[in-house]
Amino acid sequence: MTTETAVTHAATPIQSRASATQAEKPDTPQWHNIKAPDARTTRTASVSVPAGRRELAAFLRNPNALFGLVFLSLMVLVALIAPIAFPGDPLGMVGKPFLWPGQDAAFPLGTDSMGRNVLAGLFHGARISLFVGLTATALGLGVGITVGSLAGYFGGWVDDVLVRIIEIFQTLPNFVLLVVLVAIAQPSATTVSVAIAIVSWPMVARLTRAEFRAIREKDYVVAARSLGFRHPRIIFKEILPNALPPLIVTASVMVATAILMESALSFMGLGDPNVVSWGSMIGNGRELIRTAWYLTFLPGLAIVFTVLALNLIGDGLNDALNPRFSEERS
Amino acid sequence: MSPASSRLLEVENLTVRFGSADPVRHLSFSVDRGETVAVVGESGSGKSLSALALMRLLPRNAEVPNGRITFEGTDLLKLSDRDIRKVRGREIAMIFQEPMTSLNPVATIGNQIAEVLRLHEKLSRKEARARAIELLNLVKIPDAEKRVDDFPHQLSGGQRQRVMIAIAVACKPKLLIADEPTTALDATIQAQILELLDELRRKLSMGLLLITHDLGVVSRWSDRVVVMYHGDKLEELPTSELFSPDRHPYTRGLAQASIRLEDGVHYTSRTLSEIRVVRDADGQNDYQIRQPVPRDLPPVANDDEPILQVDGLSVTYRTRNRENRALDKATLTLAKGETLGIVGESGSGKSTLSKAIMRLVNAESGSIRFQGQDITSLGPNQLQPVRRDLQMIFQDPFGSLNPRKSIRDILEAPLIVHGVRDAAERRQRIAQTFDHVRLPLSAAERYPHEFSGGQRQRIGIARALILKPSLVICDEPVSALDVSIQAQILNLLVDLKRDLGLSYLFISHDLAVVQYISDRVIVMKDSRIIEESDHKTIWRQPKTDYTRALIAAAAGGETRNRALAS
Repeated sequence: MTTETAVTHAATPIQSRASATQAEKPDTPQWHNIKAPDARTTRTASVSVPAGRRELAAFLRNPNALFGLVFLSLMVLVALIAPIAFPGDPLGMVGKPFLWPGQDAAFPLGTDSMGRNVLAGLFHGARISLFVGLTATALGLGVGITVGSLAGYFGGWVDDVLVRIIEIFQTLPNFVLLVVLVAIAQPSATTVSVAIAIVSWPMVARLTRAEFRAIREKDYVVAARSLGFRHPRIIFKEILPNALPPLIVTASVMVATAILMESALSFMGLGDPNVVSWGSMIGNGRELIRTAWYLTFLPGLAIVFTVLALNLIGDGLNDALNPRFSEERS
Repeated sequence: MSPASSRLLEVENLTVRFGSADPVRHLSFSVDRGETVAVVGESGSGKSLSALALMRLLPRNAEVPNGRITFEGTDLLKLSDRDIRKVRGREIAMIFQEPMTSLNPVATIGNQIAEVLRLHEKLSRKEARARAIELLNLVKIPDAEKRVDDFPHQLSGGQRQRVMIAIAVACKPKLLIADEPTTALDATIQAQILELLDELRRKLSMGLLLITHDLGVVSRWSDRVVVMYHGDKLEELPTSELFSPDRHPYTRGLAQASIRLEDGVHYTSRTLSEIRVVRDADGQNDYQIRQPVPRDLPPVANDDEPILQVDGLSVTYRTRNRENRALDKATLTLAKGETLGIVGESGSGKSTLSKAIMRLVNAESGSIRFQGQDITSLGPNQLQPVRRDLQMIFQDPFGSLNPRKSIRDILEAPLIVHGVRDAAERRQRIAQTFDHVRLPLSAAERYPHEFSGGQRQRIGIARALILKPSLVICDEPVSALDVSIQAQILNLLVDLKRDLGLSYLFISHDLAVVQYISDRVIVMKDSRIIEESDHKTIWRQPKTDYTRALIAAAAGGETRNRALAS
């Protein structure tokens, strides 16, 4: 529809040009020092425009990313159906203690030292671990990218001030700060997430700032400025997509770190005592690691696979968002 | 000396293979002792790969399925890795294009020279240092005793290239391969470096294999020329016959497409020839030269108010502890429909001038009037409508397009920013602009990396034109392009100027290009405008010594005095 109207509205000199180019190309020359072979032969009006969705297609073609996506979706599903599949408190004592996996059909993954259902614990634990991991990362990324891009893009005094703030956070030992923050606030999934975000954003900010400083000098950013683009457009549409690769990789590592930090807090007994998480399960099972290793092994396995899935998704996203890679994979 | 022993290097039937592609096919040529042979070709011709093959420095995934490289009677392709390392640097040495990156930034130049010496010869540290100083003297670096302890960043580009040459000739190689040795350098420096190479060739009686795209360099500094295109050797000829009419059509096309200052070609008198390579039914290349028909141009309107008026414009860059006056009281005017050429070497302030006019850097003093309006200190909101009429084309076709955006996005964004809300109208404007720059609309959904350098430059031009500007600032728009592509882009710029009534501010270090496209010319040196004249006078009667030096460096002596050589 649009392509047909294209030529009619053209100003007069353009029409004369169009007819001139047409007149001089009856022999359909193959300019193979030009990579687009149709450059001289195809009327622009007659070229069809393929539909987009390239990124999605490229992502779904990547088997690793697909595996990660399937596994993570499974975990999210597990977290969602936990209250239906295992109604009642997962901390409730429901069976004999120290049942090994497979020993009793009612408890497929066995029971712990207090006779609590391990499978129910894993299901309910997924809720907390995923919530904390994703929320903390989203918050950390949001703050970190904002601060980092402002510092890197504007430079000057903005940069000076923001870098000082980042440094204040970076000089404090991460985990100590986390413990203090959680100790001050009431431990709950939300406060734990916020506390983890607070200790993890400075790294994102530094990385973003470094990327922005390098990219803002590129010619296409200068071109965008010369075209009169506003700052937000340059930051988010020109620079940020090119700064993404390291950020995406960092993000998948951050989710993993957040899950592990939450586990560490729960392990130390600083988490919310009224809910079960993968970390608290490991913490409880640690003393029995020689007699009942499955109590630490199973939640550990859940963490390992979730983190792996996130990494695979991160890599897949990175490749799909890069036109060059998604082209080569197709 | 018998002819057999004067032969230094003989390449026979050399093919380089990457997977299923052969970027170099059945290449044969030879270099005699003390002779300069030039390999000429555009990007993708396989000239650099051939040079790497000689040194056995090809990337791992490349192989050489057939061919022989005989160097002083031994076949280099049959040598063991251990033996070829003895040849590299001692027998055959190589210098590269980029003097900024080929030196190690954390080692002194003296140590870098000494390192090569000690690798191939048994020398003490002291002896090596003395030899390094000797070599620096040989390549004419002033104060060699002091400079020997300098780090690369303390040297200018030309001096770094001299150090690279010193490293290359340290062990008195019999063959020196120079891969685009002067492409990254200014014209005056370029001439000096080539002169140095030629002198060293005579002093050390080396063979010199000069790899370049620049026919001007070839015609001045070589004895024989090998012309390559897309991996094939098209012909081999004595340099003196390079510009004679009965050459291979591609060689002729290259010669015609490259502009030489002494020819005095101007866009009003003729268009540039474009080389057309047609692959016919049985896979043979057919080379044609096409010269577009020149069309009449409207005369420059002198009575109107000038489109651009710059008065006493100064720019100073400040860092915490340093001030750098990058532009000093520049004054110029540009009439509607006129092309003003600005020439100068790197660091002369020409890019700062263009950025200041574009209001990408702030002026310290002076004024810029554009279309009657003072834009020197407009805020971003008032500047927005001005930007529509004032656009820029960049030098680097690889760096100036956002790699993450499709061509459609790149062209659509300016329209959205400038308030073209109707999607159909935007598509139509994009289609129009594609027609202007002779690109197919199918290019719109592709990404920058899918295009060649020349096409990317067309996309860059399209981005500048999409807002229908009246003044376009071209900052070295053809410097990164091959000769034949350069001719296409220059012809395109002339066409666009006529069709769309554009005015150009055309910045370049290449005098021949500026001579071709400009109506008036400004010469810049050390942040100042030192000369201004119309396009005929400036080449015939330059007023300043500096301009004279620039012209001499660009034109040079057509034939080299070789009496001393023999």
